[in-house]
Amino acid sequence: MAESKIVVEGLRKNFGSTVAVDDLNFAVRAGSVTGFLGPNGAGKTTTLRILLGLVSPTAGRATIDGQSYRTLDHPTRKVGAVLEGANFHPGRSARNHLKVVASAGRLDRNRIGEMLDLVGLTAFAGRRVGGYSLGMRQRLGIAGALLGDPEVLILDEPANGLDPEGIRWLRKFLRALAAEGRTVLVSSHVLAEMSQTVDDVIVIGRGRLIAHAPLDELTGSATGAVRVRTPDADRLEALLRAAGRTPQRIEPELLLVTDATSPEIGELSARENIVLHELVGEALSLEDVFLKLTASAELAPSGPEAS
Amino acid sequence: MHLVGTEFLKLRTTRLWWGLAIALLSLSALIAVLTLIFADETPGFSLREDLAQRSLFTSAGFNSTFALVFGIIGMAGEYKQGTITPTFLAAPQRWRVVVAKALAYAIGGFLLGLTSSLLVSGIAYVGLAIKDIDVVMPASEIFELLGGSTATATFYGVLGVAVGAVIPNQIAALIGALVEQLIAEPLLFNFFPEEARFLIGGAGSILSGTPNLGATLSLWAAAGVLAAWCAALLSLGSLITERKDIT
Repeated sequence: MAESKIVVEGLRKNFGSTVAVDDLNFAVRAGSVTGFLGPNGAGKTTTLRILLGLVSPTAGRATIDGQSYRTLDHPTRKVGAVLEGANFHPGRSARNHLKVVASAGRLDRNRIGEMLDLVGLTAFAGRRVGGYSLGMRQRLGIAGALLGDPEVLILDEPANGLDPEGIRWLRKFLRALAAEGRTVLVSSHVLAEMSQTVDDVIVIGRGRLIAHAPLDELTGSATGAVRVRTPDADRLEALLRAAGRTPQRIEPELLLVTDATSPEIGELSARENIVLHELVGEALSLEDVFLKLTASAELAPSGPEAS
Repeated sequence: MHLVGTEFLKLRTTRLWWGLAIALLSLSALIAVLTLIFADETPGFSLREDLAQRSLFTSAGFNSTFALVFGIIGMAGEYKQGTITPTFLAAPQRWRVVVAKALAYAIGGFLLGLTSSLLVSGIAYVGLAIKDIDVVMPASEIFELLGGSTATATFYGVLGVAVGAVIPNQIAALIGALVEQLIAEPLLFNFFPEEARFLIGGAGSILSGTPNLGATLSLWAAAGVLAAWCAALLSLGSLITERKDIT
C-alpha cells in the first residue's frame, strides 16, 4: 500500500451515552479517491469532524500526514473540507465569503476568481448566499475548500442537493482532483454515483468498520445471484438440489440461484438437454454489497435477503 | 494578528454593523433632541443648570448596551449561522479567534461609542446655542463624560464577545446579558450599594458618568474593574470554546 495520508486509530466518540464512533481504524492511501460509506447515523460525519479538529475524540486519534488537524500550521492550505449544513452567512455574497475564507486561512486571494469559474458560480458571485440553491451552496463550499490548493480533500455528502447533472460534474471533478495527485475522502449514503467515482471503499455501520477494500475487490468477492428462466424448471431445480445447491423458485419458469455460477448452470443444462430461455449472472452492485454488509452489521435476525 | 483583519472583513461584508450603528445613532439623537425640547417642562429641572446639561450629554448612554449586543452577535452569531465551522477550520487554535474578535469588537465598540458621543455633543451644543443657553458644564467634565462613555462602549464590545463565547446560543446569550444588565444588576444595586461598583454595570455606570450607587470609584479604577471582568470572561470563554464540539 502506498503512503497513508489519513490515519484513524482506535477512534471513539461518545455523545452522552450514545456511542457515535466505536474503535474505528483505517488509513487512506495518498492520491486515491476513497468513498466513506455507511447508512445515516453510522458515524461518518462525526469521524470526519474529528479528523478536521471540530469534534474532540473520546479516545484514539485521527491524523493527516501524522499530525492532528489542530496542530497544522496553515490547515486550509493542506486540507480542504466541504461539510454539510449551512456554513455560509446568508447576507454575504459568494465572492465575499471566499474573501473571508482567504483572509482567515492566509490564502491567495487571486485564486478566488479562478475557483468561482471552476465551480461555475462567477455569474452569481455578487449575490447574497441566502438566495442560493442547495446545489449552488455545495459548489461554493467546494470552491472554498479548493481555495488553498490543498493536497487533501474531505467532503461530507457532497452529492446532497445536486441534480443529476451536478452529480456527474462532481464525479468528474473528484476524478480530476485525484488525477492531480490529491487525496480525496468523500462520504456518502447515496451509493449510485460512488461506484463510478471511488478507488477504495470504507464501509462503516454503528460507528464500527465493516469493510475497507478496493472497490472492485469488494464488489467482485461478493457472489451475485444467477437468474435462470427455463420451461423445464422442475427438472433443473431437482438437478441443482442433487448437486447440493439451493435454487429458489421465483416464478413457475424462473429460478434464482445464489450459490452457483452462470457457467456451472449453463454446462449442467447443456449436459441434461434442458432448454434455457434466460441465464443472467447478476453482478452485485456496490449498493447490494453495501446493503448486505450493513445489514449483517445490524445483527438483526436475518430475514430473506432483499435483492 | 491577521485574524483581526478577518473579523473586520466579516463585518464589512454583512449589514449587522450598519444596522446597529444606525439604530444607536438614531436613538441617541432622539433622546438628545427630546431632552432639549422637554427638559425645561420638568419641574425643578432647567437646561441652564449643570444637572440637566449633564443628562443631555449622556444621551448616548445606550451605546454600551449596543456594543454588548454587537459583540454577542459577533461571536454567538457565528454558531447561529454555521460560519463557525469554516472559521475554526481556518484557525483551529480557537482561542486566537476569540482574542481576535475581542480586539475587533473593542474597536467596533469604540467607534459606536465615539460616533454616538460626538453626535450627541454636537446636538447638545447646537441645541443649547439655538435656545440661547450657555453651557455651564466645564469642558473638562464634558470631555470626561464623552470619553468615559466611549471607553465603556469599548469594554462592552469585548464583554459581548466574551459572553458569546461562554454562551454560544445567541438568543440565550442576548437574553442573559440584557437580563443581567437591566434587571439583575439594578436589583443588586439596591441590596449591595457598596459592592455594586465592582459589578460590570456598576463600574460601567461610573466610567460613563451615570452612577447611581452608594459608593463610587475613580474613573481609572472603574476602567480597571471592567478590564478585569473582560479578562476573566474572555479566559472562560476561550476555555469553553476550545473544548466545544462543533457538530
